[in-house]
Amino acid sequence: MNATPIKSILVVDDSRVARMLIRNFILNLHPHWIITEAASGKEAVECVSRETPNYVTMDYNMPDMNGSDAAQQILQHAPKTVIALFTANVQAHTREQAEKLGIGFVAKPVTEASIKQALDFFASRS
Amino acid sequence: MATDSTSIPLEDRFRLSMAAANKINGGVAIIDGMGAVWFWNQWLEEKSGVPCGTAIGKSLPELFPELADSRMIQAVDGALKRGMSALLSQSLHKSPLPLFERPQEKTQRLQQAIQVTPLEYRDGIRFCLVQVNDVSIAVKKEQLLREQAEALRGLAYIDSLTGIPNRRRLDEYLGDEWRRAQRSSTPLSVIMLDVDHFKQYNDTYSHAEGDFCLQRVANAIKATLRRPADLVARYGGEEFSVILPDTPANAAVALAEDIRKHIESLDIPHESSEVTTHITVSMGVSGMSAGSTLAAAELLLQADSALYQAKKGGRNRVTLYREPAAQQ
Amino acid sequence: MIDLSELQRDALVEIFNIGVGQAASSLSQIVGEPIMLSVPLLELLPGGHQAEAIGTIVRSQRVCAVSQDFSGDMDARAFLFFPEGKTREIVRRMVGESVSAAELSEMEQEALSEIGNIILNACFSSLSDLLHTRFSSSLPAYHLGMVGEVLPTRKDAEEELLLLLHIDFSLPSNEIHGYLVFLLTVPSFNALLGQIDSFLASAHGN
Repeated sequence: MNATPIKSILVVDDSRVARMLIRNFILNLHPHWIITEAASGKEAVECVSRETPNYVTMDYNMPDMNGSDAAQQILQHAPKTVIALFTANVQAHTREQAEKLGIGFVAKPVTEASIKQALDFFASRS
Repeated sequence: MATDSTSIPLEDRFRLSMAAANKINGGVAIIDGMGAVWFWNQWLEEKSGVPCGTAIGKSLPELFPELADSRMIQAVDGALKRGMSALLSQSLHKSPLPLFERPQEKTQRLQQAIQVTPLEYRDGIRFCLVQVNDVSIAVKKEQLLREQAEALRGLAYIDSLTGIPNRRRLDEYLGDEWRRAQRSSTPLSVIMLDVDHFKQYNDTYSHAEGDFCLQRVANAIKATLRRPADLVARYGGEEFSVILPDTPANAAVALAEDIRKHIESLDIPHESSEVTTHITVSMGVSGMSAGSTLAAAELLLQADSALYQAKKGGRNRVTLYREPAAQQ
Repeated sequence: MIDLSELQRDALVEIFNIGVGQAASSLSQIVGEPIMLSVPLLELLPGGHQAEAIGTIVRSQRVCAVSQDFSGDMDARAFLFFPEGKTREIVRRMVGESVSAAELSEMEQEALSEIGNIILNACFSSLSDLLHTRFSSSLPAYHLGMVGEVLPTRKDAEEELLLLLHIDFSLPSNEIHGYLVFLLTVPSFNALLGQIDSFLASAHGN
């Protein structure tokens, strides 16, 4: 397997199980990547202001701030961050929001296939 | 010769069952584990124009390309892959399958209620049963009832004197338009209008003349309104209300001024008016901007309050609602 | 005392999130508007006094309910409860605004049955896909009445657990609270927990 450069990913999701799954699948494919977690949109924005990750996976339905608003704030701070919504909210309306922001959209459940989809998106934007 | 049902050989039982399924007055189809039609009964043949021989072995999207990605196909997949039963109600889907009274002419598409249920085959493989009921007659009956109710409701929503909508209709319309304004983030304005010194008009000229005056005022307001969504209603004795969707307050004020001038130009003589010698109206206008969360009832109250200010200010004028500067 | 650990609860909520997300997608296609969903709340109610508990949570003793039976690796009866009176709004939004309240009743039953069917099927599909369980489901049945009439009364009611999932649907114009209730036997519940634990184990690391 070719050595790929080390990337840092921020995983944003209010579900600990979802974060676990995402972390697990990513590390399987890229054991040396650095993964940080945030449990809410606010936390995510704080994380990014301290240290900018390469990539962000973002849940949509979260209690304080939805994923689209959080993504917008992050992009204001750090416009080069590549963000993908990773969500169970698969309605057309949500996909359109992602498109408008220019961020990716991956439908849950978190599986090897959907993680690959997210990683392919990140790679395409790097 | 009595036929004891237990003595009927297996293949005859199969034939009888198939014959029964064919005679059922409704659609019966069985889809196999790969999604291909395995059984297609006579009723389906007749209503779809697709003969049994053609249907067997093909999937539903192959037979009817319009079904690709439809709820119908999702339901069949759900039954085959996950053993889920599904209902396609006639309320939410008029007619999922292309079935007609006369399929050759493709006229009178049937309204359908469809049920999809899994059939356990063996080794974990599932087939699925699709039942189709023609509910066109039931739907027609409902339609008729609805039209009758609509006619009755029309009577209940019209003010008998002026022929314009009444207060009940106004309240409903305001609610609907308020919700729509919230959804589409558009402005909404309301005008409250009151005929100046109307009691004196009745006392001077008689109630019959008063009625006639109100009819003319109502017509004048109606004539001045520009858009189909604008609604004027009789709110009370000599009070009228106008709902203006997609209209910001300043445009509503301009329109109100047009209405006021139009009514003045009718030149209906009113000797006992303290304002002037003809019929005039006072108007209060309130508006909520796009995205405002003001309640509908509040909006109406504000228009009313502005109307009161118009009266206090001398009548025959249009006043826009202003927040009170200081509270006592 | 039968209970869910924090992590098991999280896993179930996440699984139902996916189901509800799918259902919302199907429903929003029917309504033609986006549907907002809240984060579902999950509660486990032990047997006995279930009707009262549900009545309190739904804030109405009179309810409209759509139920489906699920059988297979797990046996459960699932209900989608709506407080009575709110359902007109839901159906009106789905069917179109030109229908008056009175005529809605016949359509309401059919339409609600399908709405319940879409939501319940989506939730169970998610369970089935992620926990690798096999179920089959019955067609939806519609009930209107007091909670106590709708829930089946069984002599061994203590044997049954209620898994209550509170979901807020909002159409942009109004908020509707639907309550998903799963009636499970204790053995079925334990089977479910077993599946969740396997799922969590694989989530921790393969």
